[in-house]
Amino acid sequence: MSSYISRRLVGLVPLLFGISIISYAMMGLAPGGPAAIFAGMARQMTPADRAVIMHNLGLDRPWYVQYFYWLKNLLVSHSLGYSFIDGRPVMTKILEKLPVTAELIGISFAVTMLVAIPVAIYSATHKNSAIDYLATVIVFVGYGMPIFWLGIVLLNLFSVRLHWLPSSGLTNLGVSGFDLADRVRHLILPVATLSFVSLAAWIRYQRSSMIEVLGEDFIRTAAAKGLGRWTVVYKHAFRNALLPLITLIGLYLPALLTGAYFVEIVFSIPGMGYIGLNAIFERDYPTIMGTVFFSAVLVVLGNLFADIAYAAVDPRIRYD
Amino acid sequence: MAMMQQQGVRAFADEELPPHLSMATDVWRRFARNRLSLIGLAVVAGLVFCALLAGHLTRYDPNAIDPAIIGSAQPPSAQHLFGTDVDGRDYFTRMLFGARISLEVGFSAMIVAVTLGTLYGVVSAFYGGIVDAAMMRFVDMMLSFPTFFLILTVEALTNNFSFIVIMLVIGLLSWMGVARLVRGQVLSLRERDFVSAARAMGADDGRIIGRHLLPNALAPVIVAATLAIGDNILTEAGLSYLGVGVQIPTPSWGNSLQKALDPDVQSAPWLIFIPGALIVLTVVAFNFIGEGLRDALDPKTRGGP
Repeated sequence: MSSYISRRLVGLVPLLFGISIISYAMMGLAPGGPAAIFAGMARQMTPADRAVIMHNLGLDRPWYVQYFYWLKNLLVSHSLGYSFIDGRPVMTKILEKLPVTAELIGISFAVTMLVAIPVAIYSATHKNSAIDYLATVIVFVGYGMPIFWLGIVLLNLFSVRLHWLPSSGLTNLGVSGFDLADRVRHLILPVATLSFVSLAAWIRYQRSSMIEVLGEDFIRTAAAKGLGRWTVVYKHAFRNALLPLITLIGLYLPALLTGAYFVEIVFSIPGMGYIGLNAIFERDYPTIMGTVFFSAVLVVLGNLFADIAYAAVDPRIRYD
Repeated sequence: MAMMQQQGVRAFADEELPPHLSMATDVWRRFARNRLSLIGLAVVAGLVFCALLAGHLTRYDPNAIDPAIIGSAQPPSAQHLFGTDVDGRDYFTRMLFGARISLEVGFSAMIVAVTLGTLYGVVSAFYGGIVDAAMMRFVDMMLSFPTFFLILTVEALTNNFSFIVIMLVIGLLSWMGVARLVRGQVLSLRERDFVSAARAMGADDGRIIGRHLLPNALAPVIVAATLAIGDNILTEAGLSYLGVGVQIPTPSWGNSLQKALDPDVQSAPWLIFIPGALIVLTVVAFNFIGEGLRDALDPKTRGGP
């Protein structure tokens, strides 16, 4: 097991290296380029001034040279550079927003699982029942639904029309310190939005995983030796049906991050997606690079943990 | 006795042997047996009809502003089927032209992604070894990015929001799934006897790929392509919603939602509801078709009852 983990950790190095090159190349090769930073500026600048600024920011060099400096900075001083807009270190900006995004993703994922697992088990064991049809409808509609639209609709209904819940941010103005009730009220709509869309994927995975396991020989054996239905379904089938889902958690992370970024934008929650999008509009290259690279790192780490957890949980799998 | 036997044989033949059908007829029959797929097909056909004839199905111009009602959105009525937006434009007309944009982007970006992904997957699997390993590591890296966020970043930095660029950015950054799929198919196909036979008869790489590998790998690609159209429509809607896709005043379902959080739009719920519902309807329809094709094209169950 430990040799498997260390091999995976070593494999991480070229992967992250490649990811950083790709992010930088995408940004560097996108036509338009950093010169557009100046487009929106109120004060007119002479071409000479521009050249000085471009030179000071290192933007007059080709992207691969800039990348080299970026990488050196990251490896030597663990820095992702400084924001073009507010001059703060990008690493600090991201690390202070990361908990917000993590909270949103974590809570939504828990809610998704709490709903998806019982629904999936029920619909796998009661095919063609009303709940099974409802689950199928949720799966299809959830797959086709733009997450920002769901957020807007929920916001319109519960916040603008009914005034039940706040429409944006994480805290009310005037609330000082951490107020749990206030935080929960602010999180209900964003979490509901993100969870509904994830629900589609997870009901589908869990349902088909359950159906597959229920068809296996050891389930028939368990039932044949007289175990109760509950024991067969929950102790024998369910636990085995959960296994493949561990891998899917890793695979689902990119979609979950994208969803969280959209939710942050619709509900004005200051997380990574929110600063990432603002950075894109402000052409704040170091911050864009930081958020793009960081998102990919999160996905890679998520996959790694999922694979290790899978190897740890499933005794049939031996990697060494 | 002999006659009975003969009858028995005939009865057997009638019951057990499927009638001889062409591939297309067979696929269609199996596809049509799935009610949801037919609904999906009907919805898409309707949308294509609306998109093609958008200009003939309405009396209004999508950008024509009615000065009498500017500033106050009108609810749906006989004159304005979907009401009007805050700028006094007929919303039904804008949705019709929005369908055109969505389908165009969805379809053309799919063509780009499927072409690129297929070529990539075939080359990777066919040459194998270190070429395959390197090419697939690159796919792994590309799949580590949240795809939409990458598309968003590249599109926004490119700062060119013409149809061609949006289509290319979506297509060029979403081919990885198809590449993996095609690679897997070709890897298993190239070991089969009919490929060895073709090679023994002197077929070169191009002929083996073009005549033997690709046609056999086609079924799952068609399914993936159908589902990709839906994904691309969602991507375009997301980009346009964020203001880095189809630009106002060109109507699109996504950019109609750009101002959805403004108070005057929030008080006109049909402006929020209709574009989103159309996106859901369209994407779900493509997914229904994709699911139906998956079952209909599966060679393992082909020709059966």
